[in-house]
Parts: sequence; structure tokens; C-alpha cells
Amino acid sequence: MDRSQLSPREAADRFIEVFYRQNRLVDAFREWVHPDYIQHDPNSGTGRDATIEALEAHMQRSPNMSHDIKRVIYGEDGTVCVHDHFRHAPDQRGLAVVDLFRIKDGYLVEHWDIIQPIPDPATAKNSNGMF
Amino acid sequence: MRPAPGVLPWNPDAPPFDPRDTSNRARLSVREVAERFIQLFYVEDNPRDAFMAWMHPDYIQHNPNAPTGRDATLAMMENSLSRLPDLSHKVHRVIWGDTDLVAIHFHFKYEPDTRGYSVVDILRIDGGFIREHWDVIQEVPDPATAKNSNGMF
Repeated sequence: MDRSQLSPREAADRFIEVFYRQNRLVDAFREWVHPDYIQHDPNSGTGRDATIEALEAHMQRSPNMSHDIKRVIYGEDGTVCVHDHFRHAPDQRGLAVVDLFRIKDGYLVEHWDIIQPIPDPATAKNSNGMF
Repeated sequence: MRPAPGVLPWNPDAPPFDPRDTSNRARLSVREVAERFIQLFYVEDNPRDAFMAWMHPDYIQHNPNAPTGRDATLAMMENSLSRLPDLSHKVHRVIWGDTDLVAIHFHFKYEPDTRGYSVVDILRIDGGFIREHWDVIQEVPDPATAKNSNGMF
């Protein structure tokens, strides 16, 4: 397959399927993330391989993790926004996460994220939930 | 109005606009509504004009620390602004979606000399109004503790 023929949306959809839906984080990275990937998550090293190391540890610690995708925004310039509900384990309230990716020539080349713990619904000022 | 060079990822080829002009709101695209709201809210730090022009009175609020509906959220924001008049939003990128959604990634600070927060706001726009809002907020850490030197933006 010539990945450079894929649109940013097609590359994003393939990554999303493997990473978020199948929870095969390392496989998704090996296939779709550029080796020189620019990482903006302050808790991860930059580059694909440094992030893969962190993901391997993460998968071992949280074998029952889940990503529930709530919405995906495909930007017109090759940036993609994924809004998901992440849980380390099924019985947790979990985290609201936005991942932003920049996609070029069939690779994810840059990543930003924002992560916020979901509060106890009893303390929320509205009943709409975070999603 | 036109975007200042380098300030916003607006479409520089779009015709100039008045961000407070709501007279043709039903004919505006999702992107055009978002551009007007971004100018007033994030660039001018004017929540009253931004909300009264572009938020639907019954918009659905998903931020768990804010009440739902336009007027309740606006009252909360004006209260913040009166206590913290130097609060600021610096827009770093906008994901202009191909449906009814737009995502805005920005650096929010309550006070100028603080590290502040990395925030994404997601807006759903329909019929010339913002109808729904989600956000995710994370404190920017001390750069000395970060595992890379790329920054959060």
C-alpha cells in the first residue's frame, strides 16, 4: 500500500480503529505514527519509539483499559480531533480526553492532548455529563 | 474586520466581516459563525458580546463546573472577568470540521504571569447559533518536569 495516497481522514480512520477501538496501542503506533513524531503530551517522550515504550508499560498496567470515542472532527488541513472517554479499568469514572493529530503523507506526525478527570456527577453544576 | 496576520487561522480570503452582525445568521456557515465567536470571545476577551451574539439561549453546557444555558454561564464568566480583568485566551489552532463541529485549542490564563491551562473547546453550531459546548482542561506543568521540550501547544 502506498500510504501517501491516503487522505488524512483515511489515515486517521485506520489509526482510530486500531488504537481506540481495538486497544492495540503499540500496533497502531508502529503502523501509522511517523518515527520523528512530535509529542506535546508533557508526560511522554517525543518521537514514536519513546512513546511506544510508554504505551507498552501503560498496556501492562491497565490491561482492561477502554477508549469510548464520542466524536471525531476531521479538519480541512489534515488535523483531526478525537474526543473520547478513557478508563484505566471498567469500574472507574475515567478521564475526558481530547487528542489532536496532524497528519501528513499518511503518517501521524504531531500530537497534542488535553486530559481531565471526570468529576463525581453529584458535584457537577449541570446534569449534561462531560460528553 | 479581517484577522490580524498570524493571530488566527481564519480564512484570509474570506470577505471582511463585522463579528457583531447577526442579521444574516441563518445564512452563515459553521465556520463563519465560529470565526465571529472566536474574534469576540478569545481575541477580544468580551464574553458578553460573544455570548449575546452567537450562543443560543438554551445551549447545552458540558463543562461540569458551569451551569447550562447562555445567561447562567455568561453571569459566571462576567464574575470571573470582574475579579481577574487580565485573563487571556491565546488561540493556537482551530480544527474546522466538515460537519457542525469546530474545535479550538488555546492557552488560557487567569493572570499574565501564570503557566495557565491548555484547553480545547468543542462547539456544535447550527442555524447560526452555538448550540452545544464541550471542553477539556489541563494545567500546563512546570517545564522542568516535562518529558519533552515541545510544550503543550
